[in-house]
Amino acid sequence: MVTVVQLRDCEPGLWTAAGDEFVGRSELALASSKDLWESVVHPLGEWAGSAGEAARQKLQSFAERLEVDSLEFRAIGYVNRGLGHAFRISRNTLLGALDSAAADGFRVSDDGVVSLPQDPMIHRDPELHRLFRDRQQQLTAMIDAAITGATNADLRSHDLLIRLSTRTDLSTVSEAKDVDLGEASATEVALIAGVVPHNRSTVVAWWAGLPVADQQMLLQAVPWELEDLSGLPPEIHNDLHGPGDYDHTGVADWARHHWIDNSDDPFEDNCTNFASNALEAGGVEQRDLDFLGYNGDWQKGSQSGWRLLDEVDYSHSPTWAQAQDSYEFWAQHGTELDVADARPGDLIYWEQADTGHDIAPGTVHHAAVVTSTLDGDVRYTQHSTNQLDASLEGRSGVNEIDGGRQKIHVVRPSPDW
Amino acid sequence: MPDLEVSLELLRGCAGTARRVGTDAAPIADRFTATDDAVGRHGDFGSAQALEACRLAWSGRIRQDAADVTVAGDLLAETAESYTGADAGAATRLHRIDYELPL
Repeated sequence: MVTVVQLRDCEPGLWTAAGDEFVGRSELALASSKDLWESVVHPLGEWAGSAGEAARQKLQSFAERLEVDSLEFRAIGYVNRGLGHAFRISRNTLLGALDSAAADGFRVSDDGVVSLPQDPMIHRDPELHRLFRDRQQQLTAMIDAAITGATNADLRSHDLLIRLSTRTDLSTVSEAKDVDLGEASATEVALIAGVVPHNRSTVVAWWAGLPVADQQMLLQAVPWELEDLSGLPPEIHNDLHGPGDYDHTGVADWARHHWIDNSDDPFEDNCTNFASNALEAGGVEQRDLDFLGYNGDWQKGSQSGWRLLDEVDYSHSPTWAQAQDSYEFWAQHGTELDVADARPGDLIYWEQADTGHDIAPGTVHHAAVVTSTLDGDVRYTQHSTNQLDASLEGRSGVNEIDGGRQKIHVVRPSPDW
Repeated sequence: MPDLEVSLELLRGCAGTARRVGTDAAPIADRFTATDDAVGRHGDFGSAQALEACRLAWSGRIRQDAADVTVAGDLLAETAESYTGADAGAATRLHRIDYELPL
């Protein structure tokens, strides 16, 4: 357990710097891998014969190992960045409580016990005594929230970092990307969510005591943790709901809660169907103009529960289940934004930008839901392959080695029906 | 026996690049100053000990990977030279035809 003294004296910025250092090494390793792919592995393909093939395969395995190195360094970096955020917010909460306690004459022991001021008046006057007891409980709750948040962050990070430290025999890029980096980027977000208190009176004092920069970071990184939190100012709830008739944060919240739930995945590729389900769960109503769903509809039709029936396109409009149609539909019934302006609840699409790959250039072939934005990085949740709060920045470099460059589209739907 | 087609220029180029990539990647394993600061300052946190375990494990892994790529570059260069030597040997043997079997 993290103690009051440990949290008070820790330097969260050092964790952030350590995280940045690992992410920086990740980028160097990725650059080395790309260099090897482009300047050695691909050219060796021109060396015909068994020796040439053996050399190419060996160098390819080295390039893939460097990709794995890159992904694992980044995973470690993300956990530490998350710790930096979690410790900073927990420490600010603790320092706020300690300052308030000192200002009101309370004493706080090194193990976090808050004692009433020595003033005899407090002990003689029952009403004053009650007021100070209430304040004592509030301070205790604030300190407990800070310590609990920091302790949980420390334990969770410890467990994941220890696991990552044992993965040096890994040579499979997809496992490093989808399992290790996937868990690390989700954990980074979870570490931040884990410092949010849930007791109403604690929330009021906690939020009011946070620096504005921390408030902004929380609103963008973990809005779904705040939206239903009792004790926040009403305007925060309105902002998190977002404009229009549907709940933007609710879209992200639904996606996060169903990231690993494949019960409504009737297609071979369910990315767009998942994003559409999330929008509907957030309150976007289906648009059903045409029986077959081919005339500007956005609807999933009647579901029978029988996979063989539900998986045919007739039951879902192409705008519901296919990335290209979905993108075109929501670009028409919404606003396309710069990636830097993405917010949780937005939709994110991948368009093939390079030639020479399986997917033709200009094709929008994948969709997901933005569920967090953190340190300038978009985190998205998707099906096919299931990922929670996956890092756009962290995955794109490695994805481009295999799949070529991608043009990213972020769209904020605005249903106009 | 498959047909052989190898460009020695390409092979030497690949060898040089692999050596350079290996040499450039080696320092990725060195001098984790920010990590050392975080671990040194927070040695009583469980996550600090785990972070140190990560640093040790993954710096060791990438150091080995960088060394392997450098060795692969050396072997590609040796292969290019052995093709050159084989070609020179074949030329010498063919010249002996003129000497030993004159028309």
